[in-house]
Amino acid sequence: MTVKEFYENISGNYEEALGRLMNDKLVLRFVQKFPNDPSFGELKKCLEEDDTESAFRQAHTLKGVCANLAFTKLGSSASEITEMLRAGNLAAAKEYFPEVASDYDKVMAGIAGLE
Amino acid sequence: MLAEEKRTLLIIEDNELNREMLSVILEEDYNVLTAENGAQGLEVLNEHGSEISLILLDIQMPVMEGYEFLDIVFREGRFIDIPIIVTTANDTDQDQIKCLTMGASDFVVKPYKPEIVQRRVASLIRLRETTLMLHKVERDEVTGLYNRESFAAYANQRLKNNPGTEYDMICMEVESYLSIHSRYGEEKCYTFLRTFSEYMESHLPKDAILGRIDSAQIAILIKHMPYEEHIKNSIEYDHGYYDFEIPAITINVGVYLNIDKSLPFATIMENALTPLESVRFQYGKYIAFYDDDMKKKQNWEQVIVDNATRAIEEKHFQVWYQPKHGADSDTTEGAEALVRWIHPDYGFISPGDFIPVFESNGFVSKVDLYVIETICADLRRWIDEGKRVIPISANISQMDFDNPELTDVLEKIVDKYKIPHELVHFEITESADYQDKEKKSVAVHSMKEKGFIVELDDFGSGYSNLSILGELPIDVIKLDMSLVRNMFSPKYDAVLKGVLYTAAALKKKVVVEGIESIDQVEALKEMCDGKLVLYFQGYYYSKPLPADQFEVYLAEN
Repeated sequence: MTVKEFYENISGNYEEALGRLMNDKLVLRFVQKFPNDPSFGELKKCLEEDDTESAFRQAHTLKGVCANLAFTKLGSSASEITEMLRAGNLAAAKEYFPEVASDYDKVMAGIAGLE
Repeated sequence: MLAEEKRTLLIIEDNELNREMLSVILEEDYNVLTAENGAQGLEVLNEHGSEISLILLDIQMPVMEGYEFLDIVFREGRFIDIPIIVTTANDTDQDQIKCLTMGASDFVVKPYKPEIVQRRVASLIRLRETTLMLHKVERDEVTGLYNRESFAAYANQRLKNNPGTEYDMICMEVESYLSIHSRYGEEKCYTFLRTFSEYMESHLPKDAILGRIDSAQIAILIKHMPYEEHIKNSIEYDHGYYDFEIPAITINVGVYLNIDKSLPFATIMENALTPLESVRFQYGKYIAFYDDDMKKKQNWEQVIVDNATRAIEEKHFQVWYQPKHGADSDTTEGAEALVRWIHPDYGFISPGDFIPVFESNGFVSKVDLYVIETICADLRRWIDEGKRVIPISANISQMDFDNPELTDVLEKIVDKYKIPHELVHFEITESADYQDKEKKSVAVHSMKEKGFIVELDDFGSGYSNLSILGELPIDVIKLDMSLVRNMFSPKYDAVLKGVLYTAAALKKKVVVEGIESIDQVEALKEMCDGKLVLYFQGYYYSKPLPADQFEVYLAEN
């Protein structure tokens, strides 16, 4: 699977990522860094611990990372949960979290399929 | 900084992926330093602060939040001139506004648009470098305060833009800066000035304008405050500020209250500097306030200085003679030559005005020689005309003794007119300074060797010290008029008798100055009882007379 195909699979914006990082190789390099990014794992943990404030930070970071990588779909669900947490609505965020997790899993699966 | 040189950026961002992405966007054009949080960012700043042209700061970080970082940087003020771009996720205006109000220069939002990031970075660096260049031109390098020109420009602008507000100007001066500079060296002086400036900046109201207007002078434009406030502050500047490396620095303060805004700015600054004159080298006095009399006096002194050379060239100085009357002979037996200045525009200028000025700028030595030359010319003329001649005494000022050739110079003048040396007397005064005493002693001995008569002037006032009578081969003692003025009070009577007795014992002649009445003459004659040679000088006999009138007086007395 090419990087472009990967972006199509995860409802991301390859052109945007390419514009940011100048070439395909560099896009690939950053995409491959994504599994090491701690923000999703931390978000999950903070939600389990009912730590709304830290959860907000992590969601916010995840949203920023996704924006930079042009992971449009995951970025959008991260943005949703960020706003719930910003408003202090922990219950809603917890309820919404599986949506984020599902988008995240898709991205992770896609990355695993990249050469 | 050269245009081709790569500038250095600091990226502070906790998220590795975001951090690296920013680096990738910028590393082609810049050297990129990175930090994972605010605390680390401060460390990098402390180490590389001077190289860093710009900071990119993520606002949400776990260890030290971006806000906290901004707060520290701006509170400390050390890196205040490094522009900061805040990086933020594009979700609220509030964050962005908060950053900007806290001092950030700009922000970029995630996702990063490389071209926007690059352009914002480049334009902020350019702006900063232009500002720094301007800053360099405007600021004094040592203290970081405005230099003289920009202080004048900004202070003047402030005065013009606020017609309804009263302002004061303060000028502070490090006393004896030059000698401190040569003793402790430039580096310590600069450290002192820098620390002192920082102290001033932190103690004065935020809107005060400060400038280093001269090597040792700082001027301040400040909203008007009462007289007492200024005094209180000046004591604090002086006592509250002691540099450990340079002990006991004195800060003199001149204040011009309620600036008259209609005056040219140069005059305003001058007015604030004027009072410094009156506190220099005054122990325990550090502050003075400008008033109009001060200015008049200063202007007048300037007129005196400006006209001095011309006065010699165009003979505006005249020599007048005050007779000395012999107590026994009851005739005029000598005269003191006194300089008078008749200016074509200002008329009669009082010696009380110009002598102190000439003593402080050294011109008095020229005047003394001019007087001696005039005396010799007059004596020559009187001799040639077959008139009666008597010894004339001339004042030798303290400064004249700084010339080791003094006696030779005087002798040359006297010999030029072929005047017998004993016709010329020199009146000297005592001095407190030991080195001056030494010089004087050498000169007086050589005067005596050449056959001149030396008189000790103003005895009984100032630094009078009886021991000088033993030390110097003086022929005549001139008693200060203060002794005679009070001679009929018991205490002064005793002092006067004592002095006369001492003079008699040492076989010195005595001239009593300030004689105003026959009672004084009679009483003094009685006191001396013919035991010493006594002369009287004073208005009772005659005031100082111009040469032609003196000739007439001499023929009759």
